[in-house]
Amino acid sequence: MSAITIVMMVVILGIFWGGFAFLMTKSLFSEREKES
Amino acid sequence: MKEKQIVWASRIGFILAAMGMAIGTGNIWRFPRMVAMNGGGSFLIGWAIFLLVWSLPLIMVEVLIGRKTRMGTVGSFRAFVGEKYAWMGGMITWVAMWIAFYYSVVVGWTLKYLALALMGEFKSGIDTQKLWDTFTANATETIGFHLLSITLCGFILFKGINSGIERISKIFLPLLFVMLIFTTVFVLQMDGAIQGVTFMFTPDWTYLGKAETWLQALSQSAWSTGAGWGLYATYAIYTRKKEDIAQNALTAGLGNNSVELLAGLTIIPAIFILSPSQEYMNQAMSSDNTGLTFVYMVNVFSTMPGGYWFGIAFFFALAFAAITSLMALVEFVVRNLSDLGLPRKKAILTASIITFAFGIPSAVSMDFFGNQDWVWGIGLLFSAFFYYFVAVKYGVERIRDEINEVSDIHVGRLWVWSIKYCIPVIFIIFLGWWIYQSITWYPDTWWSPFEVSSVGTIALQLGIGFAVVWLSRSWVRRQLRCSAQDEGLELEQEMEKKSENIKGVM
Repeated sequence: MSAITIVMMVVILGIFWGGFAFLMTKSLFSEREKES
Repeated sequence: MKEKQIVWASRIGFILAAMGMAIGTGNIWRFPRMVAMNGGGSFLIGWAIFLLVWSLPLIMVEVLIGRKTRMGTVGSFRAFVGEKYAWMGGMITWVAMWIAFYYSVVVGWTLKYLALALMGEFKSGIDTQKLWDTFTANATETIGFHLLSITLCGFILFKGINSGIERISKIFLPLLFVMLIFTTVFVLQMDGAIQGVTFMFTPDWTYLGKAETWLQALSQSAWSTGAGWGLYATYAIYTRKKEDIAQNALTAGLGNNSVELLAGLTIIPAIFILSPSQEYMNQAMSSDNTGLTFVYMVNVFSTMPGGYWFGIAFFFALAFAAITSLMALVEFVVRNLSDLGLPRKKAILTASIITFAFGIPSAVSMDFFGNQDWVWGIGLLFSAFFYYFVAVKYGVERIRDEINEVSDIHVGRLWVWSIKYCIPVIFIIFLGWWIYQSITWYPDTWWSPFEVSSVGTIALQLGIGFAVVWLSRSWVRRQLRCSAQDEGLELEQEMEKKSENIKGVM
């Protein structure tokens, strides 16, 4: 696997999977805070 | 009479429902093919950019309009920019309605193949092409599964927004992720999977210079996120007044694309590992959506170790994705019928019966199905354009300010620029390219309305839709007014009751 492939993988998966996981967690916590 | 304003029980409920709507079969059966055929990583670059400049801006506009007006597309266009533009909302409804008709057939296919997977029918040596051809040629079966899918969908909607759509989304969406993560891990631990992953993420720079790579990336983003179709607007009707718009839209968009990546990481390495030859692999990737899923992938299941469980997980994921999208399409029609004064339960029954009846031609003829997919896929571009139009008419900066008022993440100049300039330019190029493609497919008969994917068939069917919407506009206007008056009357009666109660207490 070349360096460019690894960079692409990290960037793409980081943005989409990382971003999605972060925002979902944020939404979940903001909901919990509201409830409490 | 109108029912009381219903809202999603939680923010997560709305996000999951919106994702359920966006994540459909296109995420699973189209994305991997597009990546494989358009230079792997090069395609991913375009696909990521178009999420930012086409899909997300349109999703935010939709959510704002739906939440602000609390009405289906026809009523919301009327309330948002005036009565003379209500026909645009009518056209969007028309397009979504026709998509629901044939999409219910697709849901039926996924249910049938899920049943086959559960029964262990994908045995080694099975002729998967014959299996598919036999199934699609059997009208009783295709109509039966189409009926099953619309009945299932009608039943979920009948349970209501919270107990139906929200509850199902909260169950199906996490399950869809679990199934896809399972299939991805399953494939990635096999020998040779790394070749498929490398192929998926390595950019082939020559493809970045090709117009087709960019246009296919845009097609994928536009059709898979569901931006500008009116479906986000429909679900946004049930959001709370102060619900965050930008963050929710971003979460739904990223979630949609995350599922596509999971599907890509399942299908591309699986085809790489298990294709008996390079030629077979090329055939699989250049086949159509149904060919890849129901013929080549099923063949993969039948030859791989543990293929029984893999097949079940794959078709569960596909069926969940399809059902939640169909739910949104039918809810879209139901909401517009409710705005016209039909009680919700009657509206669900009407929408379900119509969907079943008009879906039958697609269930019995693959050519008719292909024609509908072509015509209404292009129709969706017009839907997106109408959302762009109302955004400009209302004021793009004004919309931005209203979004920022309730959002944690603030949208800025790039968002305004995307709406004002990117969307109309992309729309023209996109539409022009597909029309050009169609002309190259039928150099002599591109104008004929009787070809499966011609320009003529688009013109005829969109023209009929426009005529119906235009001729019924006075009736629709009257119904919307009556319905609004009913709502006012109901509110008045409620207020009177309240004041009487207060007097009683005093």
